[in-house]
Amino acid sequence: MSLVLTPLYFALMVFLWPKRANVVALLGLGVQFGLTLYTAFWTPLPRRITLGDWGAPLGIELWLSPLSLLFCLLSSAVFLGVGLYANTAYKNNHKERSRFFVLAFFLSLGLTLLFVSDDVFNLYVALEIVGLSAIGLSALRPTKEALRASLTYLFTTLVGSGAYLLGVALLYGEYGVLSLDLLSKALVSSPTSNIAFGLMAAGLILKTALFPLHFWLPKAHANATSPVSALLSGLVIKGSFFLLYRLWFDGGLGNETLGHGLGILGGVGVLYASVLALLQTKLKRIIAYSTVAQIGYLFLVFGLVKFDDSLVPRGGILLLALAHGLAKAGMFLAAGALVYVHKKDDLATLQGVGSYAPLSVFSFGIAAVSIMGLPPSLGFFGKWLLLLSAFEHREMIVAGVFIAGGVLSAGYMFRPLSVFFAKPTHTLSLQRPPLWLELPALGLSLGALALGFFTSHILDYAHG
Amino acid sequence: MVVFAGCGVFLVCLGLAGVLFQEGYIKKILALNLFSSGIFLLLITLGGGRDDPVANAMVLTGIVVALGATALALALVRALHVQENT
Repeated sequence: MSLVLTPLYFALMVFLWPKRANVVALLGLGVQFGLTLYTAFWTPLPRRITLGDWGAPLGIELWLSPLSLLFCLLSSAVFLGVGLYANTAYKNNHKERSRFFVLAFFLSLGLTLLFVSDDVFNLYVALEIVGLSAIGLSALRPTKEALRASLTYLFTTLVGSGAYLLGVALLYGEYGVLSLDLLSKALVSSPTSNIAFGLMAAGLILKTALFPLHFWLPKAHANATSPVSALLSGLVIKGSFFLLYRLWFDGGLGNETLGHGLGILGGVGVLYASVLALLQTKLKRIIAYSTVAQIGYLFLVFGLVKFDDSLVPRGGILLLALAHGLAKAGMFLAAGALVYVHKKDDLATLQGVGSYAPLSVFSFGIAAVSIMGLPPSLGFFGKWLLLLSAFEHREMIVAGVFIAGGVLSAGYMFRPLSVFFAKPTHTLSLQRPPLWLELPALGLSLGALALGFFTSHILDYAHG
Repeated sequence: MVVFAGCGVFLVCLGLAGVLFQEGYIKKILALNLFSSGIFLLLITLGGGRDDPVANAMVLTGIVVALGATALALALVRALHVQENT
């Protein structure tokens, strides 16, 4: 429980002492990370927590499983990295800094609740906390473009959670319970439960930005300030994806037809977004389109489980989601450090940036290794498991999408890298970005790379 | 019961169409509120009627969320208006 409440306490503390935001916020992020580590490794899992001793069906229950704790760990690690970055990036603007941290703590609260709650209506509330704080963050620096993108984001995300709530209403009308555990036991395949899940899934894929419902993402993620982009791309979309995953596998709501459809959309999304990423001329746009492509991979699992009910594709998707969370956050922070000096993110102006910000370019490269899925990164093992499962079941189209997507991602990642290493066109003597802007990106990217060595541990932990 | 459910579905469709096709942010925000009112009506109708405390609690929470979302949307529109006029 304290896992969920810690961010709330610290959000209030930052709000009360905005001038001390740096100390309070970093303390809070550290405490949150430590607490998550403790809960993940030194307390018995899985376990059910009954809030206020009011059990289901009337009360709300939390379900702490190894899987949810892995996502909590991802979230608190990314928050710690982004917090360190933001602390330096906003050090001359106290107002912006305290606003960032208050909203970031609320986002952390919402995500943690989303990962541990076991009540479909409580999950709706978590979804809304995540959505509204993410919108607030994306409008942190109120330029015209950012505000327009935030408004589009707001309408999209509210329609998405509205559709989810409609699904909850149908399920509650049919079964009279809200606890996911009780729901999965009571569930029978009926038109009502199919429509309900269809609505929930539609809302969630809109919020996760699966092709063709991704229209809002590149604008929102590319126009936000860099630490916010890192949170939005690395974590926020994982929240709605995680919920869909939970409903599908733990709630038993998934069905084959829908799985096939989602798999196809995922596959098309990988190819479409990768090609668009190749055509972008701005660095943050490239990274944002790469996120849309990576989301496509996540949805391929729903198509694959039809053939493979072993844990292989699910393990692959878990690794890929963790890898993307770390690597994409690291990549946006690295891009942020480059933009911090240059003020612009056009590829043309960033030419030769490698000569004065080598550390950030290095982090960008390491993150790119995981995004492309090269060994020994976590991203590689995720794709490897999914590819194995696809080959084993003769799903050659899926395997083809993976290979083509991999080649395309190499293309759109090498393009900015080659620009960074090119000869500088301008003779301006630019400063290095501050060290504390560069280190968090390095930490997160190295994490995505190094965790590849612990793949079997992660899988044992998640499924054990 | 059927009347309420029908009204709920109608409001949801109307609101959704408004969010998608109306020009202008204020109209979109109004449409969004219609959309959520429709959902609340359906929640009460499907979830056991007026006497069901859980359904009532859900709608109450939903209204609070909708209020917060509307306030945030209006604040964003206002900030955009200020930016466009400077």
